[in-house]
Amino acid sequence: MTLGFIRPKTVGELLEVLAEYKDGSKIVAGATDLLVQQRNSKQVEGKPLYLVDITGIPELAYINVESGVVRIGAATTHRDIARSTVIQDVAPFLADACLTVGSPQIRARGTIGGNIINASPAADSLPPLAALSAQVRLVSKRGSRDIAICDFFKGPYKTVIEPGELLQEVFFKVPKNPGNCSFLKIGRREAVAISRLSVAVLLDVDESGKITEAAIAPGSCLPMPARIVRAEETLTGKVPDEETVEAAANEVGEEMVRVSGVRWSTPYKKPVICALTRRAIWKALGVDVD
Amino acid sequence: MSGGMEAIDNMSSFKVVNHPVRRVDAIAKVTGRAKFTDDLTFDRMLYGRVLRAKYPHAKILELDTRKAEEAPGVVCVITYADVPGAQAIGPVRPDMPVFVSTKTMYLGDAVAMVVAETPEMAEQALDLIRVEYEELPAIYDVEEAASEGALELHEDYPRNIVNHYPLRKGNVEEGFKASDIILERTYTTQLIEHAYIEPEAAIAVPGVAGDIMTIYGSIQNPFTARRHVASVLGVSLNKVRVVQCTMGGSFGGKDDVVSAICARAAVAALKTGRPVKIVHTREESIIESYKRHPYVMKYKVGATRDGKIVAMEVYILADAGPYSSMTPFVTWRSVVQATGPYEIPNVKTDVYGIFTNNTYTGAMRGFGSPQIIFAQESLMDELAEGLGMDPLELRLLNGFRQGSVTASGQVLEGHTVSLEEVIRKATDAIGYSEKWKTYAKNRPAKGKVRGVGFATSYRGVSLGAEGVDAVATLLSVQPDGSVYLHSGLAENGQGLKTVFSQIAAEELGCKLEDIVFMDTDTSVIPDSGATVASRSTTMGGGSVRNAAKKVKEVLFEVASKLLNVSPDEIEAADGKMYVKDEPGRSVDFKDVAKAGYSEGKLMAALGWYHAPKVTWDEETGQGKAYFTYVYGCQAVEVEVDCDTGKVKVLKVAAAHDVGRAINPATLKGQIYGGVAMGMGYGLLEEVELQKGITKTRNFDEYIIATSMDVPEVIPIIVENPDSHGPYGAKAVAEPTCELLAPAIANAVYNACGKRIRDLPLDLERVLLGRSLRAARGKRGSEQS
Repeated sequence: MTLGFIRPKTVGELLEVLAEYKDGSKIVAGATDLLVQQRNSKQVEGKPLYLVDITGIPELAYINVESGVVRIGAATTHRDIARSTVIQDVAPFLADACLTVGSPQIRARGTIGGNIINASPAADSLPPLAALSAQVRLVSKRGSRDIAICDFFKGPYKTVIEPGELLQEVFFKVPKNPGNCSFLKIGRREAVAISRLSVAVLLDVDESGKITEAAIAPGSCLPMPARIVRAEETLTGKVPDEETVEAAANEVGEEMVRVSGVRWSTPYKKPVICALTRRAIWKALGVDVD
Repeated sequence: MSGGMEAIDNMSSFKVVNHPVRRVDAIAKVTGRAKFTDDLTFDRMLYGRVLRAKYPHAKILELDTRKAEEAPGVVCVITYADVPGAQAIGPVRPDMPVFVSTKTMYLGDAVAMVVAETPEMAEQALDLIRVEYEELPAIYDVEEAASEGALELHEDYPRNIVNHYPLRKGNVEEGFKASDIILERTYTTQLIEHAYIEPEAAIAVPGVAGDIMTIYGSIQNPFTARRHVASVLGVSLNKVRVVQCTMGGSFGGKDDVVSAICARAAVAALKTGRPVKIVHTREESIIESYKRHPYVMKYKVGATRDGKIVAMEVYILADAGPYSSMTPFVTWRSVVQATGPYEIPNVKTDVYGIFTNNTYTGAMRGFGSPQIIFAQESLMDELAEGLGMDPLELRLLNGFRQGSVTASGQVLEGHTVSLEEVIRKATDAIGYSEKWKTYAKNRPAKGKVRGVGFATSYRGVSLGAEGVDAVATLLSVQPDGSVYLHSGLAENGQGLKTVFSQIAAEELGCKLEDIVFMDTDTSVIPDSGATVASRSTTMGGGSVRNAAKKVKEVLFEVASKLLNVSPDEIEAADGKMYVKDEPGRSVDFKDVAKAGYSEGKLMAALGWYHAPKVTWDEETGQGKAYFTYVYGCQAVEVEVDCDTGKVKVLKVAAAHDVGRAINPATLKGQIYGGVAMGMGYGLLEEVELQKGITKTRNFDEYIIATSMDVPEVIPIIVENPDSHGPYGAKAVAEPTCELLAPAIANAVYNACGKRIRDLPLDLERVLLGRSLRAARGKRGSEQS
């Protein structure tokens, strides 16, 4: 298979290219996953595939906050998100998650748009984005549409994006209580580690210490990003104590088995995702456990 | 650190050795000027790409290469039928085919090789080769392979036994009768990959002067490669010239597998009359190259109530894969050292190499020691627990001291037995004793807990009774006083060029920067055996010193005329020759060289160093196995997350008696690197084979420690000069990577009370006590 490479300079130019090549093209935004996949794919005869690199388009790399909405351009790198004082203020757990991606080299090339589109169940940025109820904006020559992040995926490595469409940005409302969030991840090593399990927690706590809203989104245990509603409901309306937190955390393990079934990894993953969630809830509450 | 520093101060008379001089090859490497094999190109060069086995064990019914031969850019397809000489190679027995003919024995076997104008064209044509297979029953489990009536993978090898080494000392039955406590434990270790940064590469250039086949490559042992290429081509040794290129790591790994690649390139070069280059991808490297042996180790130990070990019985199966490769040598080191650095009156050890259809195994840094040390040092902590003793006390009570007798009946004399010194220095550096007690008392089953542990070893230096042990160095002073050094041993990244140059400069009195160390070339220097077994500094260093002494004698004669004194009144240092009692009266080294040249003096010499005599009785496993030993200890503090199984290594102290540190800086580098490898072995690494199929094929899945994982390492250089090595130097390379895995296992036990007897201590083993990964001939829990 022959690979072509196109590097447009503007979104307009990009949309023209996508309209012309349609499924004969693939957007790349860092290519840290795509090139690895390409290496492992068997070469086949056929029409060339055009890689359309969007990292040369300045208007796709941005982080801004306007009217209480945070917008991150698809070509924004993990490094830039991790270093962004805006993100550190409004969604520190997203900055934390981006900082756990790969290595400095991968973070400097890999982008949030790429991380979303790649749709890996182990993607580091997806649990916080799910907890934030983020949406993605897709644009094409025909117009644009917004989709909730949890509706954007059809399964592992599969999304609803259509040929000719560009993921332009991901956006979310500034949470009421950005301090009450956390992201925890277990990998086999400290860097360049694919997440074995991860979890993002975002809470809203009132003055009396009662949890008024909870968002819990695990990584690497479901086919695609999702919130664990039963766990969230367990916490909501309660002043957290050990029993409640434990119960909420256990719901995540139960949900994993319900959705993903019992697999070879379940004997490990089930107890560990519960433990990780328990820690993440306490961490979001500002309690240092372990 | 302190040990090393003291000794350095005491030895202030050294000018070059014992100083942390900069690596002589550092600038070329960091500036990218060093030439690796793949950097070289030759006119009309072709590229070889190998088609490997589809099944680990299968009959080849038909091999049709015609379509591939007609593909664009393809010059020819090489198979076993093109091999003019020996079909198979091997360091002990030639049982590994360069190209398989009738059947495959493991997934890495080469079936055919496309030779084409570009690597891409060669790759494209691979798909056009048609092979018809008939799958054969296979064996992936070493215990099954070694059982009575098991399928024989090779004719005349019942129970698939490659080799069996017995060792008998005293009477273990009597010993166990006299014991108050007896423990029986089984430990296992995993298949691991060397993970050198540069995959295998070789170029064969045919028809150079007098029809000599010249091989350039990433070759750990140029003389081994030459021997195999010559036998495969069916020519005499002098018709093959091997030149080593800059190495991107080896760790014992670029031996047999690279010999096979060199031979394939040479066969293709002979057939086409053109240079042929073969460069492996990482995936090819992991699939084809040999690995460290997985061991199954059954240990039985008996001790008295007060902690004296009375008897030890050891039964070991080493998974050799389908070819004998280095298995007979690797397992020999295991039988010598299997019971550790402890005085045990009654010992019965049996070590077997066993054929299977897994990836074949061979030399890897450590060479049969990391496995047995994992078992024996875990066992020592288990025994201490059983006796209610401190693990440190138990080891000091039973550990070797001056004049102790080893399991093979060797009296430890003629060198300093420094076991206690290294144990104390390493454990003190992390505050082992107090921490061990504190952590053992407080073991919550939840959250993050800390533990400390250590492991210690003795290790025979160089080859021992494995075989011929002699090294040559050619030192040649030029008319302007500059110096060439050629050695029969090779720079594999370990720092040999620097250490040898330091020894030459020290002995000759020239400046270090006036020495150029040439890449190893088999047409220049006598066969010096392999660059293995941590033998370079001792053996090669001895030959450098010997060559330098011979040349110095000539130069002193010349200088004596220039200085008007007798030669024995002269000393040389730092580029000058001077009168001993009157250092002001001197002549420049380069002026001596100039005068010597004009007088027609021979200012070059071949240095030679032959190892002292060693002995071994194959029947009883008794003898003087090695001429000297090194002692090492690594102590570690870890944090275990009881809820996730994650083990974080917080601090490592590594004390190694090296005899003399020729270069304390590169020596510390060896320690840091060895600790990182030991950590990977202990916690992370495993090549997963599912029924002989390699699952972990690149570094996304084969997990090695990164700089973020490796903790603070405290290197402790212990110097007890040895009479055999140059300036008292012994060895350091391999001891550094054989100790950390058991030290970590002991620390994990200290932290959370979980004894893990199988490597690696990955997330699942630490949390659940068992692996979920597929490996060691089994399919992990996917099957269960």
